Amino acid sequence: MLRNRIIGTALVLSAAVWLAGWIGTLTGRAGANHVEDVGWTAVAAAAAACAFSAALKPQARRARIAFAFLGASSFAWALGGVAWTISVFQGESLPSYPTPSDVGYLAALPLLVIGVLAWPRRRRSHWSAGSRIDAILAAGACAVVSYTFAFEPLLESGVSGIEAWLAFSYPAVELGVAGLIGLGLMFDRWVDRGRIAVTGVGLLVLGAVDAVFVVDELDGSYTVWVNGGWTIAFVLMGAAALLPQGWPTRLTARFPEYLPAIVATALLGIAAGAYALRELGQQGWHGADAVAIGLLLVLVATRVMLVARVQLRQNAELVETQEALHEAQRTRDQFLVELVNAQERGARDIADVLHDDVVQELTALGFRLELEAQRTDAPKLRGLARDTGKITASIRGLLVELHPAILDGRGLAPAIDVAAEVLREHGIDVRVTPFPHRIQRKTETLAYRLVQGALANVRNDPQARSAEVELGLHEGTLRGRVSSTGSGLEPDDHTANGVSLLVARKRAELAGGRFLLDATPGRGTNIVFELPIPVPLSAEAGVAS
Amino acid sequence: MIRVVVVDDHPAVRLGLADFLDAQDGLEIVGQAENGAQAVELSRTTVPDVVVMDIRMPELDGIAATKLIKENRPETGVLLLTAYEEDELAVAGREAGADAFFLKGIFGAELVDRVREVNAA
Repeated sequence: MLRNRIIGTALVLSAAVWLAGWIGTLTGRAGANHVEDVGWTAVAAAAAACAFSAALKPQARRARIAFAFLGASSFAWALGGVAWTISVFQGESLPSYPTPSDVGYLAALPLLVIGVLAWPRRRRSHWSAGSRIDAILAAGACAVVSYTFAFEPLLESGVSGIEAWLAFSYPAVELGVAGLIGLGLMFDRWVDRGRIAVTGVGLLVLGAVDAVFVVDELDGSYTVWVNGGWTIAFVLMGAAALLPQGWPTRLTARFPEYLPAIVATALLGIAAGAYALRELGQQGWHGADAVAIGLLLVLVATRVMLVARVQLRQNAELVETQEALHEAQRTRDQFLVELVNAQERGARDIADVLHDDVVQELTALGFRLELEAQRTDAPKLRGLARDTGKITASIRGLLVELHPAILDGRGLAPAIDVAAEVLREHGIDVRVTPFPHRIQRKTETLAYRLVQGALANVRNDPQARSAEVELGLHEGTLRGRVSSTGSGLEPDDHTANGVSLLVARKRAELAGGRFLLDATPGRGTNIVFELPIPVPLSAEAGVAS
Repeated sequence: MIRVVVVDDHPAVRLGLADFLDAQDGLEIVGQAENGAQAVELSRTTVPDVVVMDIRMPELDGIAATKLIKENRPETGVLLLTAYEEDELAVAGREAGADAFFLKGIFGAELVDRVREVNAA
């Protein structure tokens, strides 16, 4: 979108301005600090524009409200930055704390809190178990750490009263909101957690920088690194607003849903370890340190246990789901078997009715018409008798398609030979190798259907000139092969032929066998199937009744 | 006059066929049977020249009945009727001694000619 590109470019250019000023300050160029101030202030303004732009995008209503407040917060920061830059430029020296720009900065804090609280959340957390204990532990740890790192140095520096609370409010609120986002990630409460996570990282940087700024400025060691922190923070918050909704979709789909919680837990562990090392290396242990580290470690332990518990539960659910899936597949396969059997029974019943009733009645009608035609010398009646004969012939063809009586009477090879007659009438030379054995009726019927389908494909191939059907027995298995010349089937053929091959494969698999198609376009088709024969073979083919 | 026995388990076919053949010059229906066993018995008692018989029938099918009729009196002509165009049935019928086959659904002079051919054979 063009608007996003323009705003994004403004964000990058503003950051570049700050970078130029920062390099100028490091190299001792006069006035470079003003360029730095202008740069990070412009970055804050661009971040505000990014958030406002996101608030106008069609997305969840709460996300739009959140971005509106986050944009207002960044904008207030930018106004504060403008006031700061002007005061520094006019005074030619650092203004005393608190500055007039604090009006903008202070206004930004509640807007920031409202923005994050407005972010769309899940109603029910996947991490509800132990969440209250976790929240208490995390809040306690944050309070102790904040006291140790921010408020205690403030008090020790001699600052007190409203000034101390004011100075403390920046890092406290920013880090608190960053912590809130972190807790939301741990408990998987955020919808669209990718963008809020990036915002949270930006706030973490902002809070850390403000903590350093407040403490360092109070002891008179203001550093230019702080401006860099602010710039990075606002670039991150602006980037979060530019990211698409649901980002990062692919990444989220690839990793488990509790990954943010694992990452947050790992970060907590690292923080606890770093804290402990710092205290040990600098001044030894204090009571507050021990409490803070203890709380952090307990928090980490509870999170690890919870993740493990959830993992175990999910594994159990996965096993249950797989079993249910297998059961459903078995039921489906059983249903398909029943369906196929019912289809065969239906075909057989229809064939019987056609043969025993329809063909007989038509035959009788034909004789009557022929007789009356002779008696009355009526050519029309003779024509009707011939028509009756044609209808009977059509039904005979249908009988072979439905269920050839010869299959039950004489077995596979004779039945296939009859089915091949249709191809021979179309000029296709079909050879059927002798197969004198009789096997179970179901297996015979299935094998016949597989060959029948294969021959139908051959018949539909205008390039086909010859085909061969081979049947054989091998270690309790009936093996069949239908090879043909012609154009061959495409591997991903989804036409009627392709679908019938899929059905054939499924039928063979349901019977415990297999069905292989080897086709090369232009080089014909080779179909091979194997069907198990569970019952010993009977004697050779009997005579049809 | 060619003496003919008609055998078919379907009454309408049997009666239609018998009436049709009986109306043809030189043909006379001397008996009708509804299964193979009756056909064998009728062939003994009426001594027909030609038996026109369906293949698929209860109790005793047309092929088995053909074998018995031919064993009893080889000069009796047997013309088998079938609803199927299945060569294997023809082979089995010929092995049993049948003289000719005829598909149901073909009527008129062709059938009459076939009966006469069987009689002449």
